[in-house]
Amino acid sequence: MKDLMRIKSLLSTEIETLLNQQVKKEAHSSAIYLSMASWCDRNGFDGSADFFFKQSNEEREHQLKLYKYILDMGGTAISPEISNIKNEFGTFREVFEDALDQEIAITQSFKNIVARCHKEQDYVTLEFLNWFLKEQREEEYIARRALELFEVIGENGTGFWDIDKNIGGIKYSGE
Amino acid sequence: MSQDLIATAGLIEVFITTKGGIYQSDKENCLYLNFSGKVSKLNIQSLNDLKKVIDKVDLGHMCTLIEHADIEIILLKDHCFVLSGIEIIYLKEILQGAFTMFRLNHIITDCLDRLVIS
Repeated sequence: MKDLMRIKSLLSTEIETLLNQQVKKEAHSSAIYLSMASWCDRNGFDGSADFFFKQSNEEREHQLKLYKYILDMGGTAISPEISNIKNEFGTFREVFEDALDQEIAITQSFKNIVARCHKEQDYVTLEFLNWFLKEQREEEYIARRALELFEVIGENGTGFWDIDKNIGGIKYSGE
Repeated sequence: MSQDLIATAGLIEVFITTKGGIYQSDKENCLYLNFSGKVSKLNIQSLNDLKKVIDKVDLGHMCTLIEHADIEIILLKDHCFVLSGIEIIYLKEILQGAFTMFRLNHIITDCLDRLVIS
């Protein structure tokens, strides 16, 4: 008997579901960064607003990369519904704390998919996900470094001004 | 389902119950769903879509609400199913059984594909 499911798609139902969940998480991330950009802009932190606009675009690109992969492999990509986006933040620092939490959650989620790929011996998807794992190293580094600036520069005096000016300059130079 | 159709289309039984069943045609790369006196020819994607819709039906909600018609109308690309609550339970069983068989077939095919031929 022919394996019609395999002929139709390279992805198992479970991996396809996990990838679609990841599409949703990336879309959620993109929306959260957009709301952070709005908050920063409204509160005079223009440098941080630009930083979050850029982050939002990156998350959107990640979402599309996953979306396209599901389709290319013969799966069904589902356009996600996004709701419950936090629009208000207590402090400037809280914005960056939330950003780091967001990146950690995304990394954990990718680890979960990779674990499933190992279990199913889906090395094709695993190879595809390697790019995202590498990307998460950079994303987490940048979010952690941004939060570190609050300690290094300090929040008193012109601290916020300096932090806002330096946020855009954070770069990850690792391999 | 007629024996003629099974023979002429070269159908392979995937999973059957007393209420119906699913057959596969390797020649046509498609599936036949025999249920409720009707035979529907579906591709694997449509069958998967049907399973997703059936799995999402809230039977509790459907059967307890007085104003609910007690039927569910399911529209797929080329098919329309009008099902009662009990029919949904029967169809759910058939689909679950068939997809378990597909998975089993995949595991076996995968193992055979990996065998080193000496």
